Amino acid sequence: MELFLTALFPIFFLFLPGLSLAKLAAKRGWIERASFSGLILFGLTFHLYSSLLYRLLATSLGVGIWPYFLAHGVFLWIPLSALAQQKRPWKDWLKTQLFERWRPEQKAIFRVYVALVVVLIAMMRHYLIKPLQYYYGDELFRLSFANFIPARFPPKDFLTYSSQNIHYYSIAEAWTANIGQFSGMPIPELYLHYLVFFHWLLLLVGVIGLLLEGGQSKPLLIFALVLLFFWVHGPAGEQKISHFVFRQNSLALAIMALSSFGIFRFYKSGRYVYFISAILLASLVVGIKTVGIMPLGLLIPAVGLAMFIKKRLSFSKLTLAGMLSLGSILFWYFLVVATPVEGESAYLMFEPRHYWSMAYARRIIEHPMFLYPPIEQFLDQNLGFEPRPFLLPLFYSFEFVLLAIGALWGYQRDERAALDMPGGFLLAGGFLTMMVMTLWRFSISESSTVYFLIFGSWAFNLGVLYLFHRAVPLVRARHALVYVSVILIFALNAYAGQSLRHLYGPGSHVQTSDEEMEAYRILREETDQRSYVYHNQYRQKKFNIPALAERRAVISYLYDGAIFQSKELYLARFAEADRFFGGQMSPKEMQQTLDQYEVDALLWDTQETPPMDLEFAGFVKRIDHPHLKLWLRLNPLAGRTQ
Amino acid sequence: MSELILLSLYALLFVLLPGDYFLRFGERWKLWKFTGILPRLALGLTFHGYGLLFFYVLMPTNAAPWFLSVHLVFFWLNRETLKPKRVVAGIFSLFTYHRLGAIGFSGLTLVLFYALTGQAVQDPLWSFQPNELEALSRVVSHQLQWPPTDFFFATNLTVAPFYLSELWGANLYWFSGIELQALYFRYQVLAAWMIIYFGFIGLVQIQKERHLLAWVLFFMWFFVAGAATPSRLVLLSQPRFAFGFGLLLLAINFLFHFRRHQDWGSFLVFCLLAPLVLLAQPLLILGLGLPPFFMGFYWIRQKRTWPPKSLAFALLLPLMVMAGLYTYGQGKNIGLPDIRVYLSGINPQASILVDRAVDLPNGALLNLKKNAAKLHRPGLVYLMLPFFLSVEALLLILSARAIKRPKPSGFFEPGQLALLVSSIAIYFVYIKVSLIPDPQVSDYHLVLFTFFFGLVAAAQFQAVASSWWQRNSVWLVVSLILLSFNQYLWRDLGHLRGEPVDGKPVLGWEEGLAEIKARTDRSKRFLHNQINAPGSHAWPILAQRASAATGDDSQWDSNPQKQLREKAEAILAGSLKGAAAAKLLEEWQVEALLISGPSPQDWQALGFSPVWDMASVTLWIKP
Repeated sequence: MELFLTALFPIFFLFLPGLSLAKLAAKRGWIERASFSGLILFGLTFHLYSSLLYRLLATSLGVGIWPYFLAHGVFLWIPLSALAQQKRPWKDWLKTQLFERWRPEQKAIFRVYVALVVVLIAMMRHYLIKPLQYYYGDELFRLSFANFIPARFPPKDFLTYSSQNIHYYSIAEAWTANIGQFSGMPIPELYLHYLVFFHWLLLLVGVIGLLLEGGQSKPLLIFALVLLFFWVHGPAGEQKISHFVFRQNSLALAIMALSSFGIFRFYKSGRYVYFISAILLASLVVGIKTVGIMPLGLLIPAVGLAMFIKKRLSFSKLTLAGMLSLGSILFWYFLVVATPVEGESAYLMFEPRHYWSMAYARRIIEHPMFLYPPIEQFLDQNLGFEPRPFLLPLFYSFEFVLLAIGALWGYQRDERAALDMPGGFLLAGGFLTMMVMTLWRFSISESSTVYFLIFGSWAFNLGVLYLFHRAVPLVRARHALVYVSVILIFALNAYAGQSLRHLYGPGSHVQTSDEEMEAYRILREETDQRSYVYHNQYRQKKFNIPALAERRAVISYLYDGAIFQSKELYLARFAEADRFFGGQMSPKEMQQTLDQYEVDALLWDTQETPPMDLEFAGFVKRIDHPHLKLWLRLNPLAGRTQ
Repeated sequence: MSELILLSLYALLFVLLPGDYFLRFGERWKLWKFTGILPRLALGLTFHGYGLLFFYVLMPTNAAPWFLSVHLVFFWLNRETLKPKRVVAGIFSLFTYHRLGAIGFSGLTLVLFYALTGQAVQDPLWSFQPNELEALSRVVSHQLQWPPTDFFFATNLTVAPFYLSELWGANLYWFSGIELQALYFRYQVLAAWMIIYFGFIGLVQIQKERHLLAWVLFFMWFFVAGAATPSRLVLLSQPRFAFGFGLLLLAINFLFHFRRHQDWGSFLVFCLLAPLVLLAQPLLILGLGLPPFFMGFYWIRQKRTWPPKSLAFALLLPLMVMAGLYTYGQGKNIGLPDIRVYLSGINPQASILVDRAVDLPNGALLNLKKNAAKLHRPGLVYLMLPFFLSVEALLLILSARAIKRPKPSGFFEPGQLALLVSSIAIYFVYIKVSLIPDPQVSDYHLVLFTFFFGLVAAAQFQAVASSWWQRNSVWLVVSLILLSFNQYLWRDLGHLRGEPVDGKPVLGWEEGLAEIKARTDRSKRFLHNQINAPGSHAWPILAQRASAATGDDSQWDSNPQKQLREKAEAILAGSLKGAAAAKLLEEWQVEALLISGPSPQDWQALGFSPVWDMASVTLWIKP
């Protein structure tokens, strides 16, 4: 049932609102008939904005999410009115919507969709589903947000005892909470097992929409191009593949593709609604993974200006779009990401030979990439400056560079077609974003600099796919299919086939025993949602209490250079916890500490510190394993104090 | 560059001029009807090969000048063609757009080959593999006497007198005077590659008039691509294999011409070329024998009649092959390899390849070993291996199929089908048959398989893609080349020079060898105390004098030679002294000794006098 409701979610909350909005816009003459990708663009923009704003309002009013869900009943008016008018059985209507809405030439595309969804389901089943405790620590950390967003948005700090909100990327997690609360599926399971599949579906809609903007062609070619995008991530692409299955990044990527589609549609049709919708959707990326907006940073203003210069967009509409994009970006940034706590602030430092830039130059050579070193050496000796910042992005997306070269073969018959602005801007935006990584680094959390390379490369690849597909009508699609297939097979055979194992994602940093999983189950079932848990695993990169037990922790692991954690506060809490778990406190002091932090449960890893008896403090031992003790307060405080 | 001019002159005067005559001769007698450089080259080389053998047998001491002077007769036979007016007209006829283009791009291929073979003259001679040096030593020994004797041990054995590329090398050396290392390892290889180039163009039937850049790129791809590249490039850098393979391609061209036109003259040339191929490299026998066999099979299937002439010609080929093998076997201390057949198992060399394949980048998609193990069918690995080895070729065939739907007559033209079936058969021989004592020679079968499979792929692709060469397939081929180069070819090109031997002579050693060459009789031998040093097989070649004993890593090292080396080591170590040592040195006809460092032997007591020294190296000569 949970899975069925989860499957219904996109129909009720994306497709039907999208369909209604598209009908409304068409009725007003703002757009013509929207394609499937167009419906999803409108639907996703509407859903994310409405649900996030509703959550903001609901948090202050103290109401739940169900009024929001129920309000979506209004979008049933289209099917219901259609049924009423046409007096057709609902099955007919559904058949029309699902199958017959596809024009004859699009039926082939429908088959491509079906085939690719089958591929994605196979990928999900093979790569994505594993026991919850085996997922990457950072993903468990992000899952924590999804657990606490149903209670309030932005959520209260759950990593340490605090009355303040925690500010970090959490729009993807709010979207998870929406699906989870609607379907009743446990949020950890939804987030870790199924969410990426949702995002891949959205990405699929975006990529196919983008390709079709280039014109109609052979369905098999679209199939091959999408597979190339999903399966070939370039040499040294292991980290990129891992990020391809990270929940936040995959959503940011899907939004990038859908927004790009909207902008391309606007450029082709001149319909302003697509532009605004794309801008609004793209700005949400700031709250998902800020760097993800970078590649679109060139596309959006450039297309707006191009349309203005072509006199297809008035100055007032251009200004409005500009203000809207700036305003929405700032809004989401300050609402979701900007943190009032005294964490460290990150900025970019110009340092062309920083660690990650050099690391990727090495990683590329570790793979079969024998042309890179001699070309780099040759240019280095003859250009007089280091060519790596330009060369590394090219080799990082080697197959797509070949595809771009292949596109030239189509354009050589029609040079003007090559000057297709949106495709070029997306490609250039992606390339420049990759170059940011090669030249600059973040002042803190330096490893996050690779996001520029990863998102830039995805945008570059999307731009190339579009340009290649656009070139196809100029030659025979069968030849293009041969070309793409050769690149795809060669790349898969050379390295990409094996690299796909990174779709499993990185493993957990730490081990979680069966006893711990049992403890998390007990915590979920026997403590209040508002309970605090005190544990002594805070020096491990382990976020199991908020992620898997779904309870707040008095203290958690401190990320190095985190912008959402106050180092001073955490160090003080660490010192206090060290004394508590190290047996350096008197029973009275311990009692005071437990009461001060409103601790209802205490998880004691005896491999960290020797166990102690807590019966004196009013706790009862619930798990008594040599390596793990779980204590629960006999008279819980949660609900009494908050 | 002067070397290239000399060699071009050689090709023109001693190969193409006779070839042109025989071409016209055949046309006059309605034996064949050919155009272009390929038949001239093939006929010229056929005459050249047989001429070399004939003259070296007939007049062992002075074969080269006599053989080359005989070619003067072709000036007379070609007197009509060589009339100034016709020559000028012929030269002017070259100045058409397409012909100049064809010449230009053949020239471009030559330049690329020239660059690729450059490494062979940059490295010192002692860094070459012993078996390569052994081959080169035959060129030297052909110079000194014919039939040549063992150049590395003081035996009276006659060594491989009829090996064609070495005979040819000796002849070229006499004509051009090019330094031996450059001649053998660079220019002979370069010439052989050009023969392969023309053979390839003929077999793939590339439309030379159109899209010439694509043509060159396509050939370069065929030449180097494939995951079996290391062995392939190592073999291509060996003059014997390259020359033999070039001759084989020319022969197959005539075979295919015969299939298309039923001109028995072409079949005759094919039969005449067969022994020459085997005298260059006998391990090409499968490549030589299987295509006509399968073609004959196809012929029977087509219910063609078998007139007596056909039968006679069909019997000619096995006879010629046997003659070639018999002649090859005349190298007294070198027999044909023994054959071990693994009917219920796999040739261990093929197993090694699978292990290697798993580690190479191109196996990712198939993940050979793991997948086969999963399927509980270890043998499947060997069925999957060809796809891994020739992934580019396979992609080209698939692309060709995808670009154009197959004709009703079938996927492959009969000649291509014969090559394809031959390549598959050769592959099965590779996985089932080992050649001892050196199982590594099985790699010849592997390389032959990839070449034949590549040829079929190239022919297939060219046949269907010729209509869209310029705009479409060029991109595909360029991308394929870029992908191959990027994934492994750039690295593998290093194998064109083979694995270098890490050795360096002691100070003064090279000068000492030069002194031997200057001071001793060419029929005498010398002995030195660097027998087991890496690269020691180069010393006799540098001195151009036969050595009394050589190191123990040579492939032709038999028991008597081992005993001989042990005796030599005993003399050098001073454990064998006096009359016994003097007798042995006398028996071995040792005239010079090159000794590095202090020696425990009293050389003066053995009748030698020090005549030269440098650093710690001393040259002793027996007056």
